[in-house]
Amino acid sequence: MEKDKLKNIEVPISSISIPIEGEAGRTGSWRTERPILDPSKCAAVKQNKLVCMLCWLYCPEGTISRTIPPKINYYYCKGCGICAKECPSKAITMKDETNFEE
Amino acid sequence: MLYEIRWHGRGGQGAITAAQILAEAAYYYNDLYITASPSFGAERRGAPITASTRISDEKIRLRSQIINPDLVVVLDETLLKDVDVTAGLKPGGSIIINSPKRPNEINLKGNFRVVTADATKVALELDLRAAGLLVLNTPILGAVVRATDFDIALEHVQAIIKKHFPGPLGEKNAEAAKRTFEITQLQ
Amino acid sequence: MSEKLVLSGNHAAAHACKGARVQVIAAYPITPQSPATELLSRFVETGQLNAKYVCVESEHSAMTVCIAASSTGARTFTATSANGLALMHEQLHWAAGARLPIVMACVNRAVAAPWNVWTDNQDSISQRDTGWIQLYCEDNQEIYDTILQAYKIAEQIYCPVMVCYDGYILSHTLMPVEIIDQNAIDEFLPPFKPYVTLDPDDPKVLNLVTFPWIRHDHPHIEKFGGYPEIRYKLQQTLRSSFDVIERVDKEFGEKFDRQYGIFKEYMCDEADYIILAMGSLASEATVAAEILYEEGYTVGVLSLKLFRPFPAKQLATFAKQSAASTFIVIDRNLSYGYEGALCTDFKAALYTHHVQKNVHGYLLGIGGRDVNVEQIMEIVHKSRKAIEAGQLDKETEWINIMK
Repeated sequence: MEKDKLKNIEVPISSISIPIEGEAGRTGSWRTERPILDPSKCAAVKQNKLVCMLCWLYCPEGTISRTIPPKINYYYCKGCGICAKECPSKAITMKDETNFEE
Repeated sequence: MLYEIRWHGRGGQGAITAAQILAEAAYYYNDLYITASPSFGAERRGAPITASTRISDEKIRLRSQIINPDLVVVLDETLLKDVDVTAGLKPGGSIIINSPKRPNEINLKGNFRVVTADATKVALELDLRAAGLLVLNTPILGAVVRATDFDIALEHVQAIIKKHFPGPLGEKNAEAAKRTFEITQLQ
Repeated sequence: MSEKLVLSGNHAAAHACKGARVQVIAAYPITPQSPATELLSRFVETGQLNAKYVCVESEHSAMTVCIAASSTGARTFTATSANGLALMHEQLHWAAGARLPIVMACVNRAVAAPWNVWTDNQDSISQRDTGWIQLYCEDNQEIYDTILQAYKIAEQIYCPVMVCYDGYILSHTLMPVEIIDQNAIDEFLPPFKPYVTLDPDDPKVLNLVTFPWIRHDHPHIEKFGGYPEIRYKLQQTLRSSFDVIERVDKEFGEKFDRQYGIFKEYMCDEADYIILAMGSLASEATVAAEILYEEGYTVGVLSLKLFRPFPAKQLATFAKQSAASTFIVIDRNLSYGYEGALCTDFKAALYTHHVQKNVHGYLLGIGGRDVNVEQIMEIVHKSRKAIEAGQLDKETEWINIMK
């Protein structure tokens, strides 16, 4: 369980960082725009194969899953727009966050 | 006399500039001593940040973080979910929140006065934007002038705003402060 | 005309360099210094400052360019922090040994590892052996004034000067600063007259290999001495520079109505305990002293501005003449394996001059942990209780730390 990941680790003598989900909190709250993926344009969906996946690859925060279709985790997605920029099929567009409910 | 203000905003909303403008108004027009600081450390657009302003009639020798502000100003209502904005707020102090709600509709209870002002509405009305984000700092300054029991004049804050943003942009921002001043809800 | 601006410490430093008519700036960005040299680059680009701004690839190169430029007779400046200062370490030794009046702003920041962008004095204190004059500032007006004074001191005695101020606490905090009228500054600070310059028409090599022994193999050559004599001259100059430093400060005070001294005393008359500290920590301590006074304790603050050369005799004399039984030294740095540098140097000064006082050392605010009035008061009470219980000696204690 993520929450207990630190429980059994001894306090180190130097600063060591281990990967934990959500270390910086709900970074999704930082967004002013969110990426919306249109499956009808996504290459992986159209071919029903794990192809392309550039959105997954380029997301700096690892919030996009390597699945068909890729799923964006809006709890953490900061809305940087890199996925939208990199998608060769233009399947992802950035929409104003105020259009979405909390 | 020492008056301490903590500002809460998100990186890019201009909380630091608000802290600075208020400090400058107090210094140039009220002849008071001031310090104004951003939160110390890396800042990112959209991430919660704080800024602080100290105002005093004596030279300020304090260099530590403000722990018990007299006034808290929140530029972004969504911060109430993620940040303990009233932490340390002095008993009898005030908190000003950018919100269309009435003060009694804000979910904050304690020995402090809640004040609201719809700075976002004013910013949208005047199409006040910088790098895509709505400018909330100059509007909220109008609410600060209205609500604070520390004596500061709107015209002086407007003058400093115009010093920071010259020309028609300054006029618009000064107007934003005035409009927000007028719609500030003290109860 | 002088004007009053509300400036961050960094911008105050930049304005001072502009007023000092700095001619060459070579700098590498580092948090929390960058806004200082960024503003300077804007002054150069917009023609407000007639200088050359050299973008370099590291802090080591920054100091190297300053050394080269200063060697041609240019008034130079750079600014850095923490690991950046550490990176230029060998060149700090060089600049001092080469007797170049370079002025550098050290925006105090904790050193890695681990990474830390907040303030403590470890960076500048780690360089205390290099031969640079070190001056510490408590507020932004002092930063501005000290840089102007620094050039005058540096160029009179041909020694480099480091002006230190706390990262974020001063560098990024806005305070009112009076910018002095340019004509008045020009009167105070005349153009730089280099001791020696690189000139193709009068060829020289500067700082070549210099022997440990004194040469006798050419007529008159023995008068130049060897490496030890060069270094001896640096030491002698520094140890006798207090006069120059105080004179420059006095002249500044007469012209501009602000004078700082080698150290500042606050409520020290009749104090039972005196807090000795530097920089913004000392400023905070003055507020603690006031509150303690309200509570019935007489506590004073001695804010040391000049750390190198260390004013041992002056501090020992002050201590001897003071009513205080105990000096509480708060260091925002330490020599690992021993204690804070200010504490060590102060104790040595007392010992050398046969002054018997209790000295309690404390470490506080390392790595930028916030230092406030409550913690300083806690320290005073700790020492007071120890003294009252007859425990006069105390090893340095690290406060506000999870042990």
